[in-house]
Amino acid sequence: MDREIILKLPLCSNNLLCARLTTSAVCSLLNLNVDDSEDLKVCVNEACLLIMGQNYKVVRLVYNLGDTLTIGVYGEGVCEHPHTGIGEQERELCVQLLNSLVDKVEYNKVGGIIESIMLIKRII
Amino acid sequence: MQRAATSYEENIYDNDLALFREYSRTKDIALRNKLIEKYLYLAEIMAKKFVNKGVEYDDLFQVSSLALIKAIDRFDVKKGVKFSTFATPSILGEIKNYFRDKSRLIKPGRKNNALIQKIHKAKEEFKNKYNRAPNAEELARILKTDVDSIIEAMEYNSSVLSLDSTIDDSDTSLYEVIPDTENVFEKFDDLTVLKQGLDSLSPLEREVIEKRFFKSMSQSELAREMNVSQMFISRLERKIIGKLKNMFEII
Repeated sequence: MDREIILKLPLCSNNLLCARLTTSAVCSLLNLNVDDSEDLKVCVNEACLLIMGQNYKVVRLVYNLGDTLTIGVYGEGVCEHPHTGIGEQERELCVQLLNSLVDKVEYNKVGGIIESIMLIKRII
Repeated sequence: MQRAATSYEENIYDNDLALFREYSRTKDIALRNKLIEKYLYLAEIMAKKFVNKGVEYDDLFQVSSLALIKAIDRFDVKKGVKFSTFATPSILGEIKNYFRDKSRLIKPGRKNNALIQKIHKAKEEFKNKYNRAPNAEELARILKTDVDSIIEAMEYNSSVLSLDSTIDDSDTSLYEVIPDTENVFEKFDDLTVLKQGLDSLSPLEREVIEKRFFKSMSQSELAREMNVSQMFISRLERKIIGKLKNMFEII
């Protein structure tokens, strides 16, 4: 049976720890091994950084636990004080990391701005 | 404006491809160094992404830099992908391997590593079902492998004990009960010689030896305390050790 776990965080570097820990807990629920858990923690962190670079105020993480683990990373609200963000080179590397570490990544863009990122991992 | 930026990026991309083409043709080290310098940022960012996981940044940077060099050597421009697209998974793989190898003192190899993880999972499931731990034969049956492989993997997975850990619930530490293979009388002899040697040193030399080797102070800490340079302490230490060595040879 599919389960859904939702976490909402104000976007700042310090809060990303909560995202990583929640990801770790979700991986544990799915009996994923240490390597896969570490990969997913890196991915969630990178996806949050990409969303942070788009100047959102809050990130909403939706974990869908089924035959595949789908993690939706949604940006919400507008930040009044722009984040320092990440440079172009690092942004490119974030994208490459996501492509390397999960089975599928989907970007939902509106007018060139990323609104959400879907990370899809098959559970064997 | 957008068009200008795109054409600038395309230009850089084309220049890089030309460099890679030239390098794969000539294998010129100067060209490779140029490419390394150009893409070292990849190694740097990747190393930074994995800090605070129990490995020093310098070590990670070294691993990712070596992976970058390997990636430059293996990059094939004919495949039609950007170098960063090709290099990122390679560097990532090397970093992950490094973490995997570093996390154990005894390195079980990739195959055994996978088996260890399967054993863990199978053990848990068995315990939940039968309320007892499975034996090696049962694990071998569940995981469709032979008993020897199971035992080997379990051996690899046994943890390393600290000499300071206590035996059962007592206060006795392991190092107190492990027999010393050295001859105790020889040790007394060594101590007597060492004492004679130390007595022959000047007060300053004795102070340095005492603080460096009995109080475990670093050269820098000692230099700060004595208000001298670390280089001075280093030279003095070398001199004293030479003196003591000579004395032991004579005795």
